Amino acid sequence: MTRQTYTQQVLSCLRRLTEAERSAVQAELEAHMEDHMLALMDLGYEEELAEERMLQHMGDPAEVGRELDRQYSTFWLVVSRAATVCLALLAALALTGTFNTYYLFNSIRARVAPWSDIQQEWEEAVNQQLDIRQPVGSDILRILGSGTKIEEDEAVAVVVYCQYDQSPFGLVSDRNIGWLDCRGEEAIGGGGGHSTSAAAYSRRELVVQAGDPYVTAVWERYGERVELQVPLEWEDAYE
Amino acid sequence: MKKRKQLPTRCRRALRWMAALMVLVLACHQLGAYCLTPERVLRKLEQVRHTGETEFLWRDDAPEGWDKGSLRLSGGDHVAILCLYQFSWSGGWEAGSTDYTERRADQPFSAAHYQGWGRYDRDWEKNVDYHYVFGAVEDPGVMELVIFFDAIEGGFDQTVRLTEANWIRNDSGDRFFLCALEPEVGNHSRACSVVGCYADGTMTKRLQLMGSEPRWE
Amino acid sequence: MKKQSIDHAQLLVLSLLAGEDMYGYQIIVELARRSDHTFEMKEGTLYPVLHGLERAGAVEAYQQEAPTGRMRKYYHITRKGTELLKTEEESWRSYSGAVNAVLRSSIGGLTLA
Repeated sequence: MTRQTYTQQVLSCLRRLTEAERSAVQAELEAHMEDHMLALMDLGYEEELAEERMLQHMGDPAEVGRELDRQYSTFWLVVSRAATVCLALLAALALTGTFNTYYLFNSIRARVAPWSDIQQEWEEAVNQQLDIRQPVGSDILRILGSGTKIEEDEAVAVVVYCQYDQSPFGLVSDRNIGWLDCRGEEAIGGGGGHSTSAAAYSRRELVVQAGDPYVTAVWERYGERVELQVPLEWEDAYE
Repeated sequence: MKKRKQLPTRCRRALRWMAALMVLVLACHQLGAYCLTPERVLRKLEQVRHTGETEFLWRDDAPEGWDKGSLRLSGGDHVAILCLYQFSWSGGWEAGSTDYTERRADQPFSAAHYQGWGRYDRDWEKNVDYHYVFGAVEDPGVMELVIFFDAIEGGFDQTVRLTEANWIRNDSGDRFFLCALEPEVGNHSRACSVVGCYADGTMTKRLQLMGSEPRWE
Repeated sequence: MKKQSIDHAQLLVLSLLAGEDMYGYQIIVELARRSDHTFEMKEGTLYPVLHGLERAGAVEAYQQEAPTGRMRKYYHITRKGTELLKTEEESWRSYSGAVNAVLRSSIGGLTLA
């Protein structure tokens, strides 16, 4: 018998161990045998004789293997494997969007690059880019830009804004923002928008008077009121 | 001192994986990505409409023929919510069909109509629909509510009186109500309204529930 | 007499580890040296003993670089192992004391006879 044979005979009895555990046992046994052989060779033994002598002291490899195998409980291995599978499953569900990672992506995009989710005509309607953020309830109202134009003798203010939850994992609340002109009167107008559960983008066109310095966004809910002024820039002729 | 590398036992490794799994599951629950309880789903519903905190007041299993789930009424200072809560292993607890009714102190009561999915009855060869009316009574003088279900096309008319025995009270003593109407068979068009009654027999205005929003008449 | 919760081999190994952390071959050598070669176990059977103690939480293992540069697996007695050793030592003293007492009384009787 050689060291290698001895080790292999021990390993052949290890049925309950994983590959990593078997490798660890093999390394430990080999290290032990090497230490013993080196000690014998320090005493003057030749290598072959040292190995033979060392193996005599190691004991029956089958018995060693059987006793080692008994020390490894399958219970914890099963628990470990089950937990790993569940973890992998959760991660896969998160990546495939089941966990609303799509919403997370939209929420982050509204924070980091809101203009990337806005059509070009909106961008063209804006003559000053802004970045005014205001908490409204559990959301953030973010004014992205404002513009002004004269259409058929009517002065119109354009406001482009988005809303998203204060938490990146949260859902945006209902998007009821009212608008007032600088005289405190309701500003009439139309607009459009698009949204997901995570972020909402809106464009409002409000009838105002030429030269009005701002319009006011109003959010009101159950007695809580938030107002936010949005500055307007007019061509010199209308200032 | 030479660097040591700890070698964990199977038990330790298993406990570490379990701990990682628990952390991930709890994180998903806390973030609302995978709700472990209907309460967490309710918190998300409250957040979407900015309703403030509500509490569960009533629950029942979803009617026969619906997707499995738990129909629950919750109420708070500003709103009453009726929602079908459903569980799946891939998504956790989620909100199915949901309706809100906003409470307003200047109104005698608030109400909303809720209709979950119907089912097709093979024996009758017709659709069976389940209708609910829920809300809150604001005016302390209102002693009764009368719910009128007018089956315009198919089905049958129903009138239900709700009294003291039917109120569902929260810890603050606010009065909420939930009325499960009889299942309607083959009903294609309907109107539903609610009227409040005072102790002296006078009535409140009628609240029409159908349409895009409830409206007072 | 109380049944031993660990066997003699485990008791001896724990006793050695109570003094210092050791690796496998070192335990074999120390055991032989300290017992004046009375206890010389088959070396391979040490490892089921050590892994069993590890599973019971009485020892924990770590790897550290040996002077030769090779990575060695060392064993360290835990607090649980120390308590277990203390309990077993007391049991052993009690047991061996009782055996010695019986032997002394028997030898005394034989001498008188």
